[in-house]
Amino acid sequence: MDTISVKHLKKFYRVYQKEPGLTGSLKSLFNRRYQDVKAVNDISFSIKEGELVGFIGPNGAGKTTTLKVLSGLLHPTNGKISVLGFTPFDRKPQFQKQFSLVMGQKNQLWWDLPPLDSFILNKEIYEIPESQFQHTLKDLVDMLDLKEIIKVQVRKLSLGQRMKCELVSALLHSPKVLFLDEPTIGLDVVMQKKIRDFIKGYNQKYQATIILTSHYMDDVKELCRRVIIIDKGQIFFDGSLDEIIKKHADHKTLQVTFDQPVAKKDFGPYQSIKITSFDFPKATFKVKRRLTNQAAAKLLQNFPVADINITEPRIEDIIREVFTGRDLS
Amino acid sequence: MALKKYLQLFRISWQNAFVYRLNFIMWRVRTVLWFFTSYFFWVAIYSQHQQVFSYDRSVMLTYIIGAALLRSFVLASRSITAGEEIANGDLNNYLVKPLNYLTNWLARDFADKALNLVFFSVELGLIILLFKPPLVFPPDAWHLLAFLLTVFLAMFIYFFFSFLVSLFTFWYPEHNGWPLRFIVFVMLTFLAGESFPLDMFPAAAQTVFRLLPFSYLIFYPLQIYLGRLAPLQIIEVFAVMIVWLLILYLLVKKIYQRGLKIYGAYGR
Amino acid sequence: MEFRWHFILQNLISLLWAVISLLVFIFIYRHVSVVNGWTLESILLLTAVFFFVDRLFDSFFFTNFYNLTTIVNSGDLDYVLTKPLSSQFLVSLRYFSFSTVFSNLSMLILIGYLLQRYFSPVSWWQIISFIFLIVCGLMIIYSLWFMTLLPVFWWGRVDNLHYLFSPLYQLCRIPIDITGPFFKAFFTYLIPLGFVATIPVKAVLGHISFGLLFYGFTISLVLIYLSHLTWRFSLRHYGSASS
Repeated sequence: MDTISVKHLKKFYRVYQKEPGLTGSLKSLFNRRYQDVKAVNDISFSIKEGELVGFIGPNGAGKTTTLKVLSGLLHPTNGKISVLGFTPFDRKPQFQKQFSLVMGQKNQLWWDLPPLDSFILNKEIYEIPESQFQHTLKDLVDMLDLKEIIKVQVRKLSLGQRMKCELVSALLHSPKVLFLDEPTIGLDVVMQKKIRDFIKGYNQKYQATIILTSHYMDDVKELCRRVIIIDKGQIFFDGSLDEIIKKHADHKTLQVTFDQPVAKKDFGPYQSIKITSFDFPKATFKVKRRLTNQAAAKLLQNFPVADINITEPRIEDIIREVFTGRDLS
Repeated sequence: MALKKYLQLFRISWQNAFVYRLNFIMWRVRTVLWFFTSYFFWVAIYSQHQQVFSYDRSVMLTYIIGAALLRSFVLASRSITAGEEIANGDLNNYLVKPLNYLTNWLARDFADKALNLVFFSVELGLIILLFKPPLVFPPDAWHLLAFLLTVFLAMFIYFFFSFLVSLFTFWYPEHNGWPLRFIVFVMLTFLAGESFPLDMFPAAAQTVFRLLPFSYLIFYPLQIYLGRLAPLQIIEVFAVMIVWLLILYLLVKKIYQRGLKIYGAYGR
Repeated sequence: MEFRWHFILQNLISLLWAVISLLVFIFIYRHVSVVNGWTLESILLLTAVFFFVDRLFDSFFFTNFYNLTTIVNSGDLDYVLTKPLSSQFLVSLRYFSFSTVFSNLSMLILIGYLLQRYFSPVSWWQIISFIFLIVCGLMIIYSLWFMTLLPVFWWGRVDNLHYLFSPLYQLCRIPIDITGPFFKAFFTYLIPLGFVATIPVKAVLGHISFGLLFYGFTISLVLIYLSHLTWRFSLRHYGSASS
């Protein structure tokens, strides 16, 4: 049985329309007009135990909405959802004890108390036996290197430390399923890596099923072998990262630095080499994969090249291309 | 087993209150000084009058002190924050956990009340020491018991009422629900009988008061304490309180479920 | 436009407070006629004056006092200090809050009505001394309240420090002479909160001596100067402590 199964999920919001101004506010007290926003418009997917899947898409794509539906916070307008065999919106305690939701910007730790107090509270809420709690806590604290800070007031901690503690708090009850909504948002590069490594390690060690949404491509690149791309409430792509690259990016990028002036039109005769940016002394070119070496050779022969660098297209760019529907051929 | 989680909430609330020590002390100072303005005004009244509307000096001053005590105890409610949580979406944190939102707030509310009680006892001690007010005591142990029971009921009545006010933010989350909350708060100073005993109102108004739950928060418990009610009337007070308790409890449950549906429809 | 609705709401709320206070007195006075020389009309006048001054004070200073803690802790104070105007002036009067204008107006109307209906004739001298003493009262409250904010320079993050003074200030709601000579003297000479409401009311009713007027004037100047001294002192500490 799939751990997570989503069939034809639709979630439409009623957004209340309010006219501006004072009369509008008064009117809205008596007569609210609304309009339907299609946050999620028929998506289906299923995830097996232990998978680490990335949800990516622009803002407002429906990623967070989907996670909220899977957590039981929102009830679907339509569709059949099953997580660990439960219907999330029923919010059965047995279900709640087996999953966790961590949202990057929101925190659930008590602000003025040390994280340890919040941990103990969670222990009671999830009815975790004492010995299991101690064992799990020690494990997590070691993995995230938090020994010094769990007794410091949350408000005195840095954003990164807080995020780590939020993760501990969410994992104390050893959930089988973990939903992470923008977990690395606002963190510095070093901390992002630490969190990523932790998530990867956790997934491998405990075989927890993890869905991760993120804006940061590095998160996706490092963690997710499988990505689901969502936009405007629909799934654009569901498969492995490699597939995307192969399918939507059959080209390579040449970054060139010239040591003498060249003009754009000079590249006119070379049909296979397409200019993507031109800002002397640097320029970037796009070339079909199989023609890369030829193109590079031509550039080196015929132009005053100081430096040349051949790279894979960035995933960010690929995704962008996928969204704007442009084909990269 | 399940009770443990709410006990822990009680404890963590209690601890949390101590963090904001300065805030807390300032708030206590405010409450005490507010009480002083009321108290000294009445002392002044009684310097020239023997009796004001069937209350003599010691009875009235006991009432004023008792009202202040009950105000800080019965009418304190942390569940104001529930309104904010619903308005800004923090409710999500609770909905994903195996926790009953209402009971959660009940536990935290009681932690708050317990704290207030401790502090007001100290303050009361000081007030008695400094001003030696002429206190009146209940006529017998039965009256005292009845008084304590009504106070106990009053705490729940107010909790449910306050929570009900918070639930309105499901529909009107603007300003975190503060406008309604504030208006209610202010009206309550009046309607609960905190500023002066409600029997100073004309008879017609009093009939209305007997039917509303607010007068049972401060006024009626104190009337029992002061021995101003006949046994039959005391029973009537209990009856009305229990009825209101049930009504408010059912209202809270129903409206909460409704609110969740709305919340689940478009979330925050 | 949300702002406008918010603004009206704030006004209604401040008005509600005032109305409730007035109603409480009206109800109590149904059973007594005079309390230590204060009749219903005079005590309503006192209440209206108190709320009027209170809201006026709010409009001028509340936002600024509230912001002071933030400014000091975030270092934005440096920005203020570089301006050519007096930093205390800038810090105290930067924002004027319109939220209580409406309730102010209503209180003023009530004051006018009460004076006209129950206390006329009111001489020009009474009106002038009334206004004069209100200004003194505002300056006194400003100075005292301002000085209670200065611990922010030493204590750093203190929430709600701007509320520290308000409970004391609430005491002015009732006539300072109602409880006896001790408090009367205390709130007139030592901590002159009496100038907020009671003394101006006495003035407009014609029961005031030159001596008291003069004292009010002097003490308000003294306190403003004191607030300025403590401000400068705090700034020196700030300058030496900040990085």
